[in-house]
Amino acid sequence: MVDDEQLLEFYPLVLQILRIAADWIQESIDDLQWLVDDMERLYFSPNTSGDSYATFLPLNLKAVKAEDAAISVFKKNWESVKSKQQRLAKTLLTRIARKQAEVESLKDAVSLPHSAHFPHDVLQANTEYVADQTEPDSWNRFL
Amino acid sequence: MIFCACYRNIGLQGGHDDVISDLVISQLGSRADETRMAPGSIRRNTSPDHFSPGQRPVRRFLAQFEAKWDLNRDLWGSSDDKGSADIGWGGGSTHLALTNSHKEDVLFQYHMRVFTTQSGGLRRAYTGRVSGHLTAPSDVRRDLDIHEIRYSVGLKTTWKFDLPVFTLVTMSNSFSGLEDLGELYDASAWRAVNIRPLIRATGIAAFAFRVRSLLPGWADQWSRLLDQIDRVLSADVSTRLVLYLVPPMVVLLLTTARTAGHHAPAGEPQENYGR
Repeated sequence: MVDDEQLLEFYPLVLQILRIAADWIQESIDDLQWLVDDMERLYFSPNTSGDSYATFLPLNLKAVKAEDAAISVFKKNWESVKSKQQRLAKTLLTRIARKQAEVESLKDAVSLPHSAHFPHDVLQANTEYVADQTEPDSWNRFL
Repeated sequence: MIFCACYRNIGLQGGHDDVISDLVISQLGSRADETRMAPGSIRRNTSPDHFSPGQRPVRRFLAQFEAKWDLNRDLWGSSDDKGSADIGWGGGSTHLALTNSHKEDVLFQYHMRVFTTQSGGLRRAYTGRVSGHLTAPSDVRRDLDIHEIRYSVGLKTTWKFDLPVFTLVTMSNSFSGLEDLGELYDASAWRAVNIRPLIRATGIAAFAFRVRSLLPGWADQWSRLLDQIDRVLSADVSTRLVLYLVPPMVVLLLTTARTAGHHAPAGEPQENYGR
């Protein structure tokens, strides 16, 4: 039989791992968004001098429609990456949240007093209190 | 558009850090610095002053791959390095443009970290990373060794050439998650994930393709971790559930009995129960 002290160390450790997992998954999503935002700033900024900013198109192909098409391709490329990551992450984060709730529940259960471990503390205190107030026959049958 | 890419897949066991670093620096460093490099010279002297302006950004990339991440990590390093007269730093950004002598190049980097439980796939452990051992309470055979691994992608690309020249470096300290990466030269692999080359920004598109191709392995590592945690937890959850559902009922019944003794016939709790 596993003793409670082992479990009281084990469950928080599992929760810690799950918390880090959720944090790191979210971190990867945030970092990717940061990267894409940064690229868009670099490539979508006004490009008057041709030296200060990145451009999609050679100067001899400069045309509003061509530039718009290039921007559209750029956005779609990264949307493909972001949406894939978000789909995968959503599944993982949902699973982690479910697992966290399960482990929290188990941890709480271990933390709660039960007949095998605290009759000499809380249970006895209750017993004494109840014994002061009631006739023994009225509560002993619940034990 | 004709799209060509040269590539090499290199796997090195631990103990070859100098070689790996030199390879990465030669690929992502500024071209003007190539002639200054001697094999192994960079890792033997890691002081910031030792790095040429064209190498310092690569050192930052390597640091993000190797070292511990701070809470407020700065991808491009300390303010001391940012003060370099030769480098235009993208403050708070993921890219760094070499604006003076090497202004044709821009560098980007992206990193993901993940826990793996596959110790057999771990090729190099770094001191700045999280790792640990989860002891299963009921069965040592279910114990878990957990290691942090990283996937790092660095891109150096021109942004003024009509036909771009770019270098893409993908690093990981584990083979796990790298099994099914698509090849950059395979146009059908690009089409399959809805990524298209984009004239001057084709290097950026290749970067997107590579990050996209890492995602299934990244998710798979997390999924395996959760599977393993499930396995550890399932050891004796059923017996614990039976055991620990009982105590709250005992407390509840005691409280009911106490109330009953005061205000009502035994076994009939009143509305102010529990106060």
